[in-house]
Amino acid sequence: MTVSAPSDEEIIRRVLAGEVDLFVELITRYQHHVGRIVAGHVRRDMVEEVSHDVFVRAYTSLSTYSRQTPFAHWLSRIALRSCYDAWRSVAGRKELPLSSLGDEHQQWAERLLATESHERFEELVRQQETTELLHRALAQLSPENRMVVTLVHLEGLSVREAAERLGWSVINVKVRTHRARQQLRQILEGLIKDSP
Amino acid sequence: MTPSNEKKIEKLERALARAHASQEAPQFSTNWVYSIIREVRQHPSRARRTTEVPRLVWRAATVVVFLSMIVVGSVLTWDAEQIHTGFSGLFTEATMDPTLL
Repeated sequence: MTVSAPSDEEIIRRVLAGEVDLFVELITRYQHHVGRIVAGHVRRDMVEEVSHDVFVRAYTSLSTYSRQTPFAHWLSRIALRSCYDAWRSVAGRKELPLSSLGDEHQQWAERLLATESHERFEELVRQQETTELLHRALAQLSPENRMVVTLVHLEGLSVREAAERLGWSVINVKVRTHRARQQLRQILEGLIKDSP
Repeated sequence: MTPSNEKKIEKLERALARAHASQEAPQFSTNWVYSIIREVRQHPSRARRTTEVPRLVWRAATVVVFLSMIVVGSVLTWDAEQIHTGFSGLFTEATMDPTLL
């Protein structure tokens, strides 16, 4: 006889009733989901700490989970807000490393722009320099613009979806989207000034 | 910006979007999981307290509604008695006061 695993709702109900250790089950189920979101928004060295923070926040606000949306969706919003708060905290402490683009990035851009084949393009994209360039370029944006550019331009969400996930107004996201993209394009323009 | 630069920037943007999409989720250790549980155990009452607040509000609301019903009921009964007494008193006074007749 097989015993089916308890549903998320059942676990949440029991955690709220005092079975705190059952929260491990939710962490196990959603650590990959949260880790993937967080890894897409913060530096590699910040992922573990921010993901930890996401689950602690989820626990402390578990009673506000309305069960109208899937738990994963609710958790995604907490993850995004935690990433945003992490960037705000970094910006507040004025520690913004990885902000300048060097010669190696310019060389990478030249190689990428020179390539005609799809395979070579994909190969260059997989290189460490690309991820590093991505993080360096994004590090030059404000925490707000960074979140918006990542969600709308890099992940392809609509303005409405991004606003809903960030808990911001649609107008706010719409205004930032345009501004943030212009900033990112200016940063990238710096890489192609001398390229043929 | 020239059309040629525009195309180049679009290509770079495409590459960054692909790089972003290909970022993999890290593997968290068991220690990481238990570090969360350790932190969560430090404030176990917090999650429960927040569920107790709405429950308390509902209980208080029930008591308030019940008390209000009693008050409204007694006021209505008292008013009805007053009206009844008022009319009968008027008739009593009317029969006793010869000037009114």
